[in-house]
Amino acid sequence: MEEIKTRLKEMLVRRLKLNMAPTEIMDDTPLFEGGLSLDSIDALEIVVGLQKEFGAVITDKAQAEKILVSVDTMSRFLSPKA
Amino acid sequence: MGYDPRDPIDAMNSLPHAYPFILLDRVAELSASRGVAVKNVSGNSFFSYGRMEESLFLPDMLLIEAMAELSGLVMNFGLTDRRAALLAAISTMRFERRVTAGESITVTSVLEGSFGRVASFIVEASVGSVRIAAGRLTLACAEAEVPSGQVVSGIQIR
Repeated sequence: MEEIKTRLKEMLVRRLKLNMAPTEIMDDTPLFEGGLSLDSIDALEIVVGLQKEFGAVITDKAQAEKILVSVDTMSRFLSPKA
Repeated sequence: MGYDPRDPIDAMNSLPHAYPFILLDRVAELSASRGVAVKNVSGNSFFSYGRMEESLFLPDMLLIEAMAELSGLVMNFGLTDRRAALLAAISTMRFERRVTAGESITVTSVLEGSFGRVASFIVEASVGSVRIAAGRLTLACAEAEVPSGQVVSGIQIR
């Protein structure tokens, strides 16, 4: 699980060109409001990244809103697949 | 309405653009995941083509516009109500050579992924078998134009 979280943080920094180190992202840091302040284009980048780098496909918007909350929620989604 | 959004030729009518800013001349192939179109570069277009070393060429930004227009058609494929697809981001774009008057460009756009009303596309332009540009675009779609700062799919656009 920790390895997945590390890979997720590295993916966020790389794909979203965040001006911070992966280690600065906490497991429970909100991705959107009140946290990393990502937007809808960033959300798409994460969806594409999860598919390309982890083989995880998110098709349902309601499902996405539960997964794209924090590194914690994304890792729980990925853990059976990674 | 008045057009068939699944017909590659008729789909051109779904573009919200007006002359002279329709950069595509013909859509050859169109589906929900991929589009192929042709842009002919004319030497007598009044549109502001660049001039360098006595040859007319298509400015690179207009090539990106053609790629975005085709991506918008892919994004709207099958929809009977016209929705504005706005160019939201150019993640990468590499130009390998200029296109001069008299050449015909084949533009290809492949849907990479989508989330809500936002979608990314892998785009490429070629003359014959020679690739002249390639990159990745993101489009945001809405029933009406979405100015910066408006909420799309519950998430704020910067």
